[in-house]
Amino acid sequence: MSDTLTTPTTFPAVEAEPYAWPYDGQVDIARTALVMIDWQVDFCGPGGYVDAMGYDLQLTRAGLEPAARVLARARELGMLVVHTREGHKPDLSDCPPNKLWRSQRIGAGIGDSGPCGRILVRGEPGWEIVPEVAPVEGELVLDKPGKGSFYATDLDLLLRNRGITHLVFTGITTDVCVHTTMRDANDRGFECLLLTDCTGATDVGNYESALKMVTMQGGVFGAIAPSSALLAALA
Amino acid sequence: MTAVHHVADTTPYPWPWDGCLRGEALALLVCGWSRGWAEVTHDVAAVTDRVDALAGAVGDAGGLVLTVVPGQPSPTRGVPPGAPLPLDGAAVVTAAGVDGFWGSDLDARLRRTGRTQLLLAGLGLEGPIHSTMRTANDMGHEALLVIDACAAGDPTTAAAARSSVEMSGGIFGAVGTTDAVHQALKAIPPTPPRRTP
Repeated sequence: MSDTLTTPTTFPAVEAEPYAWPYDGQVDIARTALVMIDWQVDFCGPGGYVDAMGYDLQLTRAGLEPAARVLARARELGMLVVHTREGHKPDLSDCPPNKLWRSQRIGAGIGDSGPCGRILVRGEPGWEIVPEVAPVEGELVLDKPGKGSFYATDLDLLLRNRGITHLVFTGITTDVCVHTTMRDANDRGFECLLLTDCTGATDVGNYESALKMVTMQGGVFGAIAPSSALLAALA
Repeated sequence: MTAVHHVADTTPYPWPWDGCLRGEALALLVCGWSRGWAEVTHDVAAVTDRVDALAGAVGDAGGLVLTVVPGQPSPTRGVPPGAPLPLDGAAVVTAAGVDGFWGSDLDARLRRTGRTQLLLAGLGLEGPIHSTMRTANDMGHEALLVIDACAAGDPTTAAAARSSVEMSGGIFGAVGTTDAVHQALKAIPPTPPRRTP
């Protein structure tokens, strides 16, 4: 499989819920991107933003290992990989005042100093992607000021220019940044798959419900599958 | 700032964040307001009554009332929107996606009329209401989910849809009730408080 001349470029559909993904029958590597959402120290590392709010880090770290396996396979196949990072400019000029106020109110103020530098600020140690899934040369790294990866970013253009029509998601947190991005992608016409064991949230019930919400109404936002199903299809 | 005016008992923080509830900054977004979403959600009759009451109160306070008919990006899944549902005094926004901002003039309407305090209600708590609230929040709007004026598709996911808003100090805004909004709008001071820079 290491010989690029013999590496297949299309694979059979993934066993997924509520329908075999993708809807158009096969996974075309050239038209598919793996989107790794917000695997940052601030969301899954000790001393980061989620830790500062007092949530259990094991919940947001749970999907890291399987996500790393999917990332490795995507790299072998030459699939486009996109990493996203939530963070603000050092002067916080791109942080809405209500977002800043809410974070301060619960003792994890954006821009405040913590064990990993200034919380949710670009360039700080807490804003970096954790080493397990760190980007490599040639992969897209997208900075975003909000929860969604399309709002106030160039993601849509970057994907269109490469002819990407299908997106596979891993990342954190399931009900916030992952869901917002998947919803936006689906509205834009991208065919979306969320990998259930490659994502986590600060609350288990919200994680489970976020997965279920994808599958409602025949797959209103796309489909979900465990990473084992994707890797089996891509074998 | 001498006085503040909030909607009572909102969670997880007193809404709006700056205590400056004002009719001229307010908009009620009644999302998923179509027959298609009425078919896949529960308690539609009770929610419709509350939406009617909210629309009247918001309009009386000088707020903007909009219904949003979502689109259906896929021909094979999701919810075909069907016909718009009526609401007295409301203008109708038609969106291309589940999110009311996608492929619509919702943003233009809100900007043109200076609306930044948004009340979210309608049909499809986990669907159009949540998608629209998320985008509104990323844009910097101050959003309140009027929970008893939202029809959900499933009781389990309804609880999580509420919880997801309330986590992390109100990650998409806050949650309140129709009655509390009603009371707050009736009691807006003649000279509403303004946030001092």
